[in-house]
Amino acid sequence: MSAADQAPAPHPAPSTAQQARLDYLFRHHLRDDPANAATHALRRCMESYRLAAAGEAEHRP
Amino acid sequence: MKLAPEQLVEGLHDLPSPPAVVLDLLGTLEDDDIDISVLAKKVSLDPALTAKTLRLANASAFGLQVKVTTIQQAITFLGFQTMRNLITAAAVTGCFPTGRCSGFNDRAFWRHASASAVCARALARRMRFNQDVAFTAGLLHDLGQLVLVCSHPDAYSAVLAWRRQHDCPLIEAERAVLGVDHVDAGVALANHWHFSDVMRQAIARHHMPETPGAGMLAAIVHVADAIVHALDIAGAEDELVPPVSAVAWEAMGLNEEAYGYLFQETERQCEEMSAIMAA
Repeated sequence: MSAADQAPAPHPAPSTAQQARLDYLFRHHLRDDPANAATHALRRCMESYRLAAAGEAEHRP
Repeated sequence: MKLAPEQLVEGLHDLPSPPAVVLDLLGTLEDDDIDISVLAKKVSLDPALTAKTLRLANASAFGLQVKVTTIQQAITFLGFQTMRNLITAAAVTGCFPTGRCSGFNDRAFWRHASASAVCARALARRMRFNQDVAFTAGLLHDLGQLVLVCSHPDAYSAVLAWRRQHDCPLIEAERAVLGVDHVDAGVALANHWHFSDVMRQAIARHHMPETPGAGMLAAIVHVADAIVHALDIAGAEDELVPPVSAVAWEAMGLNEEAYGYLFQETERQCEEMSAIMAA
């Protein structure tokens, strides 16, 4: 079995358009600004939510 | 184009007032000592208010198994607290004429307000806070924008143009152009209509929930507001997520998974709500 066969299935990702829209919505908030930790926490939650939604959509018959 | 505080107050007198029964309700949102049958009768005298309230009550967000056709029936099924807030919501939305201000998107405003209401209610449920009060606060938190739009439409068009030009939060553009903002206008309206203290405080502090004495309701509305911007619900092309207060975020005490369910609930419930509100 090759390494490629053993690799986990790629995690479903939100579309590039969704990622670009998130970047735009959070455009005033630098990712590594510690003063903005709560805003980044919200963004992380939103990215996870969009990922999960994309995953669900992929498995929907 | 700067507005003096007294001009804000003058503008309030040009707005149609909600029915007297609704003004009573706004001042006593946290009280239980109100005669339900008298309330039902007073509301039923206003056909437009009754119709909108019943549409809200029958929205799937409230989970009714049967369709209610009278205010009294709705109170029986949904409870007095919920109905009181729905009556308030239905009445307040009817007080602001639409289409007066070039560049202001009334539909996007009500989509944001409705989504903030359902999100604030969902947060309140997880916080074991009064859900009905949170719903109303979420709905009314930006009402000051409508005060400015209706009282000073041309000046507010200039605010919107300034905001587009500078790509800044709306509140910054309001301060730059008008010298006052929608929070000032919202507080003036809350005073004029005799909102309860807790509601007034939530409107006054929703951009600064870390202010001492701001209270949990302001924190809930602040987080709900940011979530709804991040969910991109209003459909505004130049949407922008405001900075989230660490104090308010920590106060919610939710993990990523819990937020996921909350986002889903908000998205599912806001469509129907906003259609009713904007009607």
